[in-house]
Amino acid sequence: MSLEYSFICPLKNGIHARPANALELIAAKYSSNVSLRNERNARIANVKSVLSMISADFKLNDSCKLIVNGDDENAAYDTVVAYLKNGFAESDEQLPPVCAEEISIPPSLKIEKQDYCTGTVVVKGLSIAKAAILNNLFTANIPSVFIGKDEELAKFKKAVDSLKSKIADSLTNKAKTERKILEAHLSIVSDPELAEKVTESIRASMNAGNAILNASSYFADTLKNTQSELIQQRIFDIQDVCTGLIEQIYGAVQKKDILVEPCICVAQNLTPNQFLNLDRRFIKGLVLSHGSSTSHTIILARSFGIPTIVGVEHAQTIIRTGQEIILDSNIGIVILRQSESVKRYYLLEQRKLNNRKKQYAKFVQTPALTSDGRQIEVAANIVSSQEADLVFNNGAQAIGLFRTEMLYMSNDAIPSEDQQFEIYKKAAIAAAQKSVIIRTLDIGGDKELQCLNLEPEANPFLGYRAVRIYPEFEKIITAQLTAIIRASAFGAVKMLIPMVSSLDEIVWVKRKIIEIQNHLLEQNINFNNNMPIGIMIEVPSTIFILDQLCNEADFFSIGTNDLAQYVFAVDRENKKIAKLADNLQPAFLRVLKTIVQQIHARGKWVGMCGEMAGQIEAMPLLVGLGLDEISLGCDNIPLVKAAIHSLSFEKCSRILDSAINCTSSQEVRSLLAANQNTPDFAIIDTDLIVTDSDSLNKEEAVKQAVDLLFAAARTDKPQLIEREVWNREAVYSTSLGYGFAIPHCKSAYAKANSICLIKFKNPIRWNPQEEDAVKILIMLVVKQDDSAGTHMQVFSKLARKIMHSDFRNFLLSNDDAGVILKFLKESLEIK
Amino acid sequence: MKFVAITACPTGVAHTYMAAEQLLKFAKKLGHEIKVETQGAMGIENELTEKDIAAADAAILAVDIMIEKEERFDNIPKIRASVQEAIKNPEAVFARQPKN
Repeated sequence: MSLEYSFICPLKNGIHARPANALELIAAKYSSNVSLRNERNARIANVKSVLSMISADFKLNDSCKLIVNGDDENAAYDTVVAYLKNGFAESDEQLPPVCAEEISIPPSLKIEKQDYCTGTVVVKGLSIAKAAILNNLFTANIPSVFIGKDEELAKFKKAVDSLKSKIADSLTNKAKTERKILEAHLSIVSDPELAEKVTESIRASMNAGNAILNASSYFADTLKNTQSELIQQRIFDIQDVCTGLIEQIYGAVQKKDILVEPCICVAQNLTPNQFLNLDRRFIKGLVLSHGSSTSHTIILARSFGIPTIVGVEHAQTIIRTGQEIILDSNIGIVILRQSESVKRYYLLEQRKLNNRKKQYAKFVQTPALTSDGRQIEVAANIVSSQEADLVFNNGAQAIGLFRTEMLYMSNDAIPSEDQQFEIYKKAAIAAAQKSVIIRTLDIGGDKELQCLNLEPEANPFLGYRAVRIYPEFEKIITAQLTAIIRASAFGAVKMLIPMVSSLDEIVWVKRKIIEIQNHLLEQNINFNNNMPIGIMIEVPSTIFILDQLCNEADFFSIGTNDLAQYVFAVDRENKKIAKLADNLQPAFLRVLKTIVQQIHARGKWVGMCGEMAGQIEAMPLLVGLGLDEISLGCDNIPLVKAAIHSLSFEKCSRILDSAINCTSSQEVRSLLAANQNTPDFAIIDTDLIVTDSDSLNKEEAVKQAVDLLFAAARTDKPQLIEREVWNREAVYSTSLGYGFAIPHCKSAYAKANSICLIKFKNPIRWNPQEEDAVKILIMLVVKQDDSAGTHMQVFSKLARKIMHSDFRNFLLSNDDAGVILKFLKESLEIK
Repeated sequence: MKFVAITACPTGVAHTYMAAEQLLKFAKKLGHEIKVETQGAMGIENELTEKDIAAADAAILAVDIMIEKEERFDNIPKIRASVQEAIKNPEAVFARQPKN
């Protein structure tokens, strides 16, 4: 006798791992056979096996039949049916939304909530490529030896038991979502179907490792055919579990991530080492579920201009290897599924970014000067000599920071003196007499170097790192110093010493340098006898001995990341407090001012490297400080130069003085916003007129208009203006009839009052109920704080003119941007 | 007939002025006299005086928002319309029966 119960699957995502797991836990309490038949595809699943259930591909509204038979069938039937009636439908709850903060999807990007996930932007950019899940592409080192069926089976059983207890142990202290995933793993380890599949292979004389691999690919194949995305994601769980089992038997599986084509790398976290071992040509983007915005991997990503977002929870499980994804780290999203309209949106995005680039092109090869003629050198940070040409082509006036530790970290062995010499020489030659500041080895903190065998520390940032380890590793550091000194014969090489906290340290290094120079002299090897030697200002103690340090050093460079961390006593890796170490805190600004004043008072040169040097919003403060140089990531150089051109040193010094007396970083931000300086833009210009737009709908049309403002540098936040236009449009449509629409808004994000005019190749239906399609869009954007109302007369005149057919007809019948501009200027009386 | 009118839209950038222009244009076409005050982003322009209002037969309030100094129209018959109507169908607005 068996008991049967028919029902309709109530779960939106079908029976995926979580509901299957819940059913399995109930069925497992009974000795009876409990199976579930999918009437749609006639598959029968063992309810006690999660894998079996998810393989049977139960979908929403499938007819299902529960079949129970065995000794305790009545009790089993009652409990399972009770659960199916009560509770089962709710077992499908969605994962909680992650990181909902301030992600704003522009109206022109028409995308469903389930088609993307969000994260925190650390390196802006846009990338469309296949995904590669790192730490998942493993090549298992499984020996081919087969000991014997019983022995192999025993190995497998032992592996299952130890992995089970390992997962169970790690279950405590985990967040709810992570626990659910681990629970799913636990049920996979104990799954009878998995055991059966492995046992079957072992019986056929396969060793335990290969049997597990075999089972892994069997289930992966089966699940691939299911129609549920959620179930397909289980493949990774199964692979994870199988890797875990293999590790239990053969020790750590050698994981090697190999990229063979351009892709967006997805991982939980990446150490700088792991990052550097990847083929950089192929890394088009980085999506990490952990990682802070200042970790060294992120610094590397920024240095290479690789679009990156972090905090994308469960990224490795949501995204599949080989899946084509879009990483939009301008918004902070990863798009998992692309519709035609999403593809079209990104085509427009590419167009917008290319146009913006052209806008800044003129700043690439001009030196950075303020409007009142003060020079501030804009230099680039690099980590390899290959980047040198790239940064000079993008307008760098020098290399302000060559981080050398990456040379050590990307190789298994320490690079020899000669190898390093060639690298530094190459950078010096590429710089062609522009200065190249090479920082000596800065290892420790979050930058480990395995070959040094440094002991792990409780507080690595306060520990044995950088200049502090030089005396112990004298041989290694001598090789580097020698290489740098030799390279000084080939260009304007300068040497920078990191983490100096006392005078002794710099004296030690300088003595070492003299020793090396004497040695080179004896060998008749060329070098620059006057190579400048500088000190990184990052440890607060140095600020109080600047008078003494100035006697020893030729120049200084402020490392704002570490300095802020030490000044505020904030671990920048700790998400909960990272915000406290805000560069714009008045305390920090005072520190910076003191440093620059003291150094300048003694006639020495001071620059800044580190994150703050690349912050466009902080530019008035950096100029106001009177820094001799700022050194930043290559991508922002033209932008920063453009910003400097729009600033006056005299005004910036006043802004700095006010900022120092603010009471919070927020107040400093408001002060900077209020003093935002923009060049004088005409209200309309040819670059705001398009006469052959291919926009397909009104959302695209508005996006295109707003993108013109972005390309013309009239706004840095086009998407926010776009939103404001749509907020206004929601009040009532701005389509006028006569083939005209005039979307408009007041916006705090507009740097200038602007009129954009767009003529469409194909008229756009603005409202479904309106017959009259829009042929011309005229967008008016008014600066929020424009109290002077400079251009209001122009706007109101335009609004009045539009009501007259002669005005409209002229615009409808002319397609030359120059002619239209002239006409508008005359009719609106714009001087 | 002799009209006074006020136009005022939410942003005060475009529709206020388009409606004003449309009322001027159609008053002329229909043989009416009209003076239009705008309450836009530039504040009140072409302000209606007590004398203007006293001399008019009716007031047209083509407004989507609360306007300033509405009490001026307490004692005059009014035609109320949206800014949209004034722009898209001004003739119908003029044809409407003023109410006290």
